[in-house]
Amino acid sequence: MYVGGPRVWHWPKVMKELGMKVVFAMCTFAHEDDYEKINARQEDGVFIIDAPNEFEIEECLERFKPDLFLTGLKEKYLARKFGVPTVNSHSYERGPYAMFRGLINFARDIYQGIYAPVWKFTKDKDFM
Amino acid sequence: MKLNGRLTIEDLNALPEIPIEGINYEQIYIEKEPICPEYTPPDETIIPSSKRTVVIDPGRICMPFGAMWASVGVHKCIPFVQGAQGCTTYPRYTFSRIFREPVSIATASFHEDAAVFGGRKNLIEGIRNLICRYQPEVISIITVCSSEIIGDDIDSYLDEAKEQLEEEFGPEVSDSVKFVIIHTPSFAGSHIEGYNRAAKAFLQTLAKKRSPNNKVNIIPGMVTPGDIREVKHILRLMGIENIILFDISGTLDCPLRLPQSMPYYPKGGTKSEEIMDMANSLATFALSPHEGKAGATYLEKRFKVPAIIGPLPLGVHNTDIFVKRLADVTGRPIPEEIKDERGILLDAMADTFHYTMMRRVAICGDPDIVAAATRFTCELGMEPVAIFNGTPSKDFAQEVWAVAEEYNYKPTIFNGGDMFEWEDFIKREKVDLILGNSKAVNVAKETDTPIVRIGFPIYDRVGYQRRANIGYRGGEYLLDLIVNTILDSKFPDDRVHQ
Repeated sequence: MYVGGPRVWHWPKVMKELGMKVVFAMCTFAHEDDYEKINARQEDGVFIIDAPNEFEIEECLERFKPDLFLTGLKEKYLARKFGVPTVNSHSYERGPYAMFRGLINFARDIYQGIYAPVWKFTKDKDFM
Repeated sequence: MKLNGRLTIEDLNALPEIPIEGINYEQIYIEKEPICPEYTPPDETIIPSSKRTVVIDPGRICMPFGAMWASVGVHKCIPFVQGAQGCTTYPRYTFSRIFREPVSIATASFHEDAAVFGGRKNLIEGIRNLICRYQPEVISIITVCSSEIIGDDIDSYLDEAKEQLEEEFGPEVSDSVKFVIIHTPSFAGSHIEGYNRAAKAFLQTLAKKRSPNNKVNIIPGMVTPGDIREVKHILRLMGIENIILFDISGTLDCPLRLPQSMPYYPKGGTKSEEIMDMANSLATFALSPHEGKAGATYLEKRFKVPAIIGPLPLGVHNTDIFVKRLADVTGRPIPEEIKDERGILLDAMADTFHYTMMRRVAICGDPDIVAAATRFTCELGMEPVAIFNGTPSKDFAQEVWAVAEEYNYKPTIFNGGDMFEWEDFIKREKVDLILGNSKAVNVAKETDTPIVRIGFPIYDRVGYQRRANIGYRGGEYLLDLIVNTILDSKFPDDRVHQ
């Protein structure tokens, strides 16, 4: 995930509830107190970097091969070129994501991201 | 004299003169009072078409129409319709509405006497007139319900006509024209079967075995000129020489360029020598299984040209199959450009699936395009719920079920019913989008459902005949149409910006 500081320390729990595992987390403008909370709440072994540039994002996508990248508008198109689905985590795809009903929206958008039929076509060897 | 505002009938009658700028529709608009204020659902018992003897809003038209469509795609070919004038008037009207082009179709002009004495005289005199005035290279003789019921013996009439032509004008005139007889009794089948039979009839009459030509035959089916151009584009990228049977891209979408010669013949269309040469090709691709299969299998049986039937290359999966088979048949690699075009379509799908996924779609039209569109909507993550096809077909039902099973959906299939039952289904089980032709527009308006126009016929909008829905680039265009239509109707503007 690559979102604003508070989401990076709020969402690990949500991901866990949805049965997902965080592999790397990034922030651009998070402060020291954010990182304290991130370190406390993310599970051990999660790779965390501050203020990544595009190339570092690419390196993370290739190294961790995530099934989903929670990120904003500018970075989602980069992830797409590596075949990684995204959910717009700044302004959402079809929000709101807050509260119980919002979580249903969030889960639906995550489902759509991961299970969109387009991804299976990208793996056809004849067209690589 | 200036008119302001609405006019009543009395106002209109009282006018001393019609103003020079005319009276517009707004001014003579008369408010209609609905018979009942709200929608009253029809009696449950008459909804399924199987329980009625009457057809309400059929989704198909008659067999000769398909044969005329095919014939119009042949260079300097004029269809000669062995029937009443209405049998050509309606098709010509329809062609002109869809393509906005002139279409020359000759008629035997049956009247009461032909119904009693048969159409022998009409055919012989009609063919003579046609040859004298138009000097066509090919004449396709298309029967209709009346001539088939009368039992006109077209073969012997034609022999007689040819004999008379030779006597009157000499053998060079009678030999310069090729005749193709297409039997299309319109009380059976639909326009789909008419095209299918035309494909077989043209090949049976004209195809001749000679030395191999290393080309690929394409029988596209009743697709748009834009679609045919897209097929040609794919073949060009792969460097494959081809013969397209019934190439309407050269006859039903023509440039306006002066000067024009008389009689008017479009520059393009499949040449009769090309049809002759189709017996010597590497393979025949019948892109639409229901429209062209008969022609492709005839070439396979008679001349051992392998027939590759369908599916219509619309959407990712179907176009993949087409491209891979082309590569297999010709031994040519899939070029980078095609992989890029596919990649651009996939990129567009990845950019937009959050708008399309889980949307409920109803689809209507002809079997091949509906089956392919059903698959494409599944590829976009949409849920097909009501699939209507006007021409009953087992293959169609199997194809749609296979797609539905693959993507785990349970659509209701109206296979060969009428649009009335399909419409009723949409009214009860709301859908988010309709994919269909101009005949579905009223349903879309009544149910306040956005519609994307695909298939045949589209006569209430311009430009659709020039656009392709097939191939990767066609898929891209169709995807854009679908997504923009959803955005127009389902999304508040400020959400679309992000």
